[in-house]
Amino acid sequence: MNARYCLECGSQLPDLEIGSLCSICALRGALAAGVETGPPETSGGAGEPAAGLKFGDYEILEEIARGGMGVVYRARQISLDRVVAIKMLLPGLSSPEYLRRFRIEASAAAGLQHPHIVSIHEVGAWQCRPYLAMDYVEGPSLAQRVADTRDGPHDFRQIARWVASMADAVQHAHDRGILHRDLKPSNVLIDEKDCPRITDFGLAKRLGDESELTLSGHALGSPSFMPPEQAGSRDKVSRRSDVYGLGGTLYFALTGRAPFQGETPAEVMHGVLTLDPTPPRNLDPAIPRDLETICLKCIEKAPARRYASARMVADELGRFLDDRPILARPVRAPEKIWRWCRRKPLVAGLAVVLAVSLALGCWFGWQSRQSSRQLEQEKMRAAIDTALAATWGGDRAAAEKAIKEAQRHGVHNEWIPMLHGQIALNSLQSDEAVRQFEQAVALAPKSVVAKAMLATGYLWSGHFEKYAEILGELGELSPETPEDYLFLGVALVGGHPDTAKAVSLIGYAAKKRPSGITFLALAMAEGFHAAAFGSWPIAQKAIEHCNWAEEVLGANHPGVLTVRLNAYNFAMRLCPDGERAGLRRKAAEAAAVLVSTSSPIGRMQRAFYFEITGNDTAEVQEWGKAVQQGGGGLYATYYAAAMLNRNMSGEALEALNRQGLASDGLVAISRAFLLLDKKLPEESRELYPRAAASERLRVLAETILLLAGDDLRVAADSVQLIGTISPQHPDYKALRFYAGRISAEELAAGVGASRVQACSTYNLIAMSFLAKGDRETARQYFRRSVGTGTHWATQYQWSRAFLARLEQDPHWPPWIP
Amino acid sequence: MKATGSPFSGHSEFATTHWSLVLAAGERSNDARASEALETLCLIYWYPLYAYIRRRGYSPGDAEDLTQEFFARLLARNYLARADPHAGKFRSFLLAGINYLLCDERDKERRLKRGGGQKVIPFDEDSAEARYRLKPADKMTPECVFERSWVATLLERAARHLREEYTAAGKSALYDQLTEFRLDGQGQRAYGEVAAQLGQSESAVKSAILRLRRRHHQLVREEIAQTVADPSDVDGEISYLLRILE
Repeated sequence: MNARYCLECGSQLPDLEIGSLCSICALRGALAAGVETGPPETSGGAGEPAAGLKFGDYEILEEIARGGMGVVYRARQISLDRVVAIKMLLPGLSSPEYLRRFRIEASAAAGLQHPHIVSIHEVGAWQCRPYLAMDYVEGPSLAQRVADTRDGPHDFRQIARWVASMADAVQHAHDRGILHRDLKPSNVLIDEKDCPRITDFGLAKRLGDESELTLSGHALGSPSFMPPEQAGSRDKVSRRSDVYGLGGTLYFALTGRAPFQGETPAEVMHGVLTLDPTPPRNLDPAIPRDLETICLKCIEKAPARRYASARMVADELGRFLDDRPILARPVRAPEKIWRWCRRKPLVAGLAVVLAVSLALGCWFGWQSRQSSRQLEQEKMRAAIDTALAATWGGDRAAAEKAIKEAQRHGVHNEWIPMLHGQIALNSLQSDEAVRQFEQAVALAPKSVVAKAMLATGYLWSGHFEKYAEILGELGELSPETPEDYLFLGVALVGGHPDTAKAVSLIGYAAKKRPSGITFLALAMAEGFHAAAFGSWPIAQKAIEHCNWAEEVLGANHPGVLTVRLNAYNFAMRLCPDGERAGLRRKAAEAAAVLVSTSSPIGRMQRAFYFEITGNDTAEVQEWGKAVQQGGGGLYATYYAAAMLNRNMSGEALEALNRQGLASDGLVAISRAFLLLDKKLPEESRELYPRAAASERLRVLAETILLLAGDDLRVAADSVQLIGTISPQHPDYKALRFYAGRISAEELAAGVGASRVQACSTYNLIAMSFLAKGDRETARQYFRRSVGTGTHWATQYQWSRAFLARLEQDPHWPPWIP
Repeated sequence: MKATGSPFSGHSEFATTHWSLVLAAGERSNDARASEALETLCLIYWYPLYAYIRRRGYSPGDAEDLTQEFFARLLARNYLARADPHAGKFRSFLLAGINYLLCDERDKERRLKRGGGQKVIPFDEDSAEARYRLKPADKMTPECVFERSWVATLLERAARHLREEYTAAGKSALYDQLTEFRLDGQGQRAYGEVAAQLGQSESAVKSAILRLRRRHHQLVREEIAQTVADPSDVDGEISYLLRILE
């Protein structure tokens, strides 16, 4: 069984065996279904106006369009003998309150007289059905027009004229206190004189909301042209929301697509709220730069950064049309700075990049003048970046120096322990790192960066409950600066199942503020994401971003080397067959260079490389050295599994004893498995309480009891635990399996798209079959677990080791019949 | 005409609803159809009530007793006089009724007298409590707990109903294939895979999904209709429920 997603908005559904729609979509659809059916009380009504029907001053000529909310007719206004359009609401749709407000708003809009607005002549009612009589415009909508002329040459000046006229019309309405609220290409008609006419002023939202819902009967209207303040953020809808609509329409006219696209409204919404739009000139370099600048300024996320009025938009477009310089300064997209860097490869590091961007005067936003305070802030940021680059590269002396420099530039107090913590983290002194980060959080309790770093510290030091707790607290803070996004993303890498989230957070940081470390972090997150979902294209992206990081930080930066090998390791598993030999060669080079650095993290990647390329001896050696160098419990686990794989559990136990990692839950599990292999199930069992003390390891810890023959206790524990967690809890299904509520097949069938989850689920099932003495089935599931290729997951390594032991000795483990 | 029960059958808007039957019968307890309708409603919606009482601070044991007590009295038609047959929704009626019971000073005494030939809605107390505990303990008011449980209950019922329809039509495999998706590397639905499994084109799969969604909408509508007195109240009730969720 796969995961369930709402068939309409794509959101993941709670863990039920059934269901096709989320609650909201189910209810909205039900509402729409009523309209489609036609509520019973209207079915016996007077029916639809037909051609020739006369009412009031009008005679219906023909129906020209129909939506869920209303019907549009071409009609003749008898007294003036002119053709008008009549938009009539369907009967029985809405509450009296709705209709009352509709009439008030329509009457207000009826006062608008402007050459570029479709005027409303009359608001009336026919058989209790409200209608609007308005100008009849014969012509396509702007959306249609753009679609029709997509392949031809673009007349950018005409587009500018159109949008300038629209802006003029919008200003006219704003002057009379009326907002449009839903400006988009489909609400603009191009008349026979090739002039734009805006429809549904002030009503679009009222008409649009429901009509989109019912038109299709299922899909909600695409929020593509909706400003963020309307798409869910708390800002109030204002005149600047219409400025956004003008910008969105300009974007569409220039590029033929909406600023944000996506398969589902939820995806589009995500874009509207969090992503930067692709600059139009990236889609079509022929677009004049000034038009791009005007367009992007209109669709800034923060209303305050848009043009203050439609008038200003009209004036800017007028300047463009008169070939005068426009007022707005282009926002240099991060990509542009980046291209600049690529043309001039530099090894000098981040500070140089920052200096360059300062010289361009375009870092962070619109301000055309950098105040001295901003300059100081940039220096501070540069110092922080330098320090981070040094810590991530393992260069402790350079890092300490950079911290002093940062202090001199007056960085906020919390940054000092944060940077020291980063040094400790990268030297694998995770307890010291946690201490520093805790201090930072105490200094700045509202700082997202500090909390995110603390979360990372807890993750690396194996304090999974505290990790989860901090992540929960982070959910209540909103990230603002690029650093917030970067470290929030970093905190998720390797610790959180939502690998896509980490990528999107870091990706956002990299866009806002491209730097060596953001690209490095991005490449790392993408590597994990690619591996978790088996995606070769994402793995390629990881390699590409590694190249970018390398251009900034230099080819010998240890962080670059490590992340590069990490990317190659994932890529080797995911690439098409034709690419593998080439990748293997590159990976071999990277692994060879990495030997010069001595960090445990680098060793980890080398060990993975050796595993993938089948060199078990070298693999074990690397893990052994990583453990000796003070790598924590995670390294000890990899080491133990690799040793078990090679049938060397005795030596492994001795090595672990020497390292004195006894308090670690992961190490307890490792020791337990090694003891089992040494035919000491009772000693193994004694390690259970320590392993099970960590909530994160609970399910894995139960396998110790299972293999020691205590399956009844496992079942009893599980029954008890099920009652305390929600079905959304990651352990829920596994515990139901232990409790005998679902079968192995059912558990295996419920594995989602994540390979990591699949790996651990198969491992769990294999362990339980092994405990029952069904070695053949156990072998099958161990194989499936290893088949996920998720080498960094500890359960992958255990599956691999157990499989090897079973192949070496068909009767292993001996005490199981 | 296709047989009813087929997932692709048409539908008619319910002239009479469970709740309208109950209201029409009023306090007469000898109307068999109305009694059955009321019992059906109670069987469906006991959980929101239980959750509400728990949230009001009663212990699991008391909540069980009170829920049972309430339904017992309801089925004996003690409260129906209070229901306004013109403007009633079962949801609001239930909440008003239980509040009356909770305010009733003599409730403890009455609870002692419960039993003895009175009808009881069978529900599994353990599962009620387990379900209640699964919900996050946040700052929701009892009313909020009640309303959210209400929506969840009726939507779950509609979803189950949909699946049953497919199963009855021998199409349970189709249902599973249409509603469970693997996401591909780009996080998109792998329609192609489903199409291949079914041996159909992707567009055929998409229209099958469309049919399924439409039927789902209709079933939600029907489910809600059973709880209102007049079919024309359905839209208002859906809008209300949407506001609860949004």
